[in-house]
Amino acid sequence: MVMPSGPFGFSWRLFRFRSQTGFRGRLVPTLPLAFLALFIVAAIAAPWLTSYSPVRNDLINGMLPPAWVEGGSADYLLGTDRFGRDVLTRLIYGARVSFLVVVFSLAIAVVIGTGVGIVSGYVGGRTDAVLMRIVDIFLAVPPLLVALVVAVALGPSFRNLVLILGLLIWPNIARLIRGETLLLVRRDFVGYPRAIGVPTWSILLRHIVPNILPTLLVVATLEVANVILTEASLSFLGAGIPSPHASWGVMVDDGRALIATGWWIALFPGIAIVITVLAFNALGDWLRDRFDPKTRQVLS
Amino acid sequence: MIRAVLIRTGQALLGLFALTLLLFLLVRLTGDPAFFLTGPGATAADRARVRMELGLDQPLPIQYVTYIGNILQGDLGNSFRFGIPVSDLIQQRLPATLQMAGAAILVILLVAIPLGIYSAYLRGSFVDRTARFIAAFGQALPSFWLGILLILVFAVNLRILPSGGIGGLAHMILPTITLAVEPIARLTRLLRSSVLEELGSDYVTFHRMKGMPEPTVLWKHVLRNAGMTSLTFVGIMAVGLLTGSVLVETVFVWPGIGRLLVEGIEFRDFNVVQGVTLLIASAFISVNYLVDLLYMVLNPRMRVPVSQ
Repeated sequence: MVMPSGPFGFSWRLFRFRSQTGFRGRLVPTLPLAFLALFIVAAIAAPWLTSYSPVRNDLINGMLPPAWVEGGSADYLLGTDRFGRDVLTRLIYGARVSFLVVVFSLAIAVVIGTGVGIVSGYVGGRTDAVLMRIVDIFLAVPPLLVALVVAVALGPSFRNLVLILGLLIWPNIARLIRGETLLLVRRDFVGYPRAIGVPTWSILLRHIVPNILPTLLVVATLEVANVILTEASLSFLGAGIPSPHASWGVMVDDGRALIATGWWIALFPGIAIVITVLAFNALGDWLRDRFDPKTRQVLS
Repeated sequence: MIRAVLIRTGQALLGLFALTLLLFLLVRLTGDPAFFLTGPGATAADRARVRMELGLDQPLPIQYVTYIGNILQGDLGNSFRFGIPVSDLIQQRLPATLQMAGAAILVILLVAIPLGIYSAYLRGSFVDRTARFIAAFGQALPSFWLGILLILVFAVNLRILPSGGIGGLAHMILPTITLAVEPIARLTRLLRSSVLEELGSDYVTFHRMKGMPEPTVLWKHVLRNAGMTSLTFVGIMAVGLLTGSVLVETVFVWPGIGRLLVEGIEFRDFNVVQGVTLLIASAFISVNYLVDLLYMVLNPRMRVPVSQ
């Protein structure tokens, strides 16, 4: 690759060298992975990590600031909200909610997206054209708005939220998987078994699916960040996870009206969202650059 | 060229069709539409009247045609909460939203274009690291939370800016920043990578060899080519600001269509929700369409249909 020669001339090479093997290079897979582990542990072990209930009111202990602030109590490390619910407890249970939403909605999106993508790329022709037009339609409407309207029509609930997110995300996956499949179909290891009459399902399962897994992993990781942000936005607007439940978006909404008197209520869930999204984005970018450089073109 | 335009037009129309069909079916398949359209406070007699007025006893296809006809005439139904047509409400609220979106576009372009260009040009430098930091964080910051933080710092603690509402220039600062941060991050990132690509190409070397000043190379030639990739994004971004305004207007109690939509959700005012969604979504589809057409005019390679 030709490096641009700028006003500092030769030093470009130095900068580039540093940026690849320097401290960023070592931090990127480790830190997000460590956070991912923390996130999953919090999600699974929530009831064992805290003895408080995420939803039960305890009005006597309402609006307590974090432990290190004057008036705070060591019993409530990150303070309590208006109803006396422990913020840290709700944060941990919020991780559980985000985790479940991510798992279920991505499961839906991956199954539909991969299925449609492979069929479209492998069969081609009219099937491909019809499926891709459907994908285009889904991509043509703004996801947050559609999710809002559907949530209002069906009423906010965990099940509806997961269904909506899953149905809004699969087209992104389908498009990438189709592109990947189109490249694979031209390869000999797909062409030969086809020529000697190996059944289609066997070719798909044994030769196509294993080869699209890297792309799938990359796009799914990047979509996690997308799901978490959308879930938080919808919950914040009152169209995602219904209110008493601990979702980070709901918590930020709870803290919005109380920002002047209880800044901690909105601050901590926001930080949780930012770190989680940063971690998954960094991980996705790293995976993409690392072990599947060719998807860089397909994804962008 | 004509073929590509026709295909793209078909896609846009199909998108609009699917959108209206979705809204149409949502109301009818999830229960009695008369319930949605009159709101929770209505009596049985109200509902019967609405059912008659809207022709809900007709077959579905006929209902759909009537529905599209009404939309095309600008009739989005009445808001049960305010008792006036939704289109009037939108007309009242739209200027505030456009004002904020316009200010945000200005800020985004003024910040992201120089940042993207110099981040690539001074690759690895302090400017580049700052730009990449902004890009990474900007994409991870939920705008509704950023807005609340800004209120905490500038309105609650420092008391130098109003925390919400519409008024003079001071009222616009915080919402505009909140709305602009995420698009700045995306545009900077996109522009950086396309400028990096352009900087390695022959024409840049050529212009440099013949002694053209660096700023001219960058701002005239590199930006023109790199900007092509970003053009699509700028179009989508402009409409994306309308969606983004839903969250930002909620935080800053800004009386625009975003706030109207959220209030509609709180009060289950379905006609309002439907009307605002239709407006923003059709703007989204049309702008995408126009940007693609513009792209075809500017870049001959795009005139061949993609699916072929």
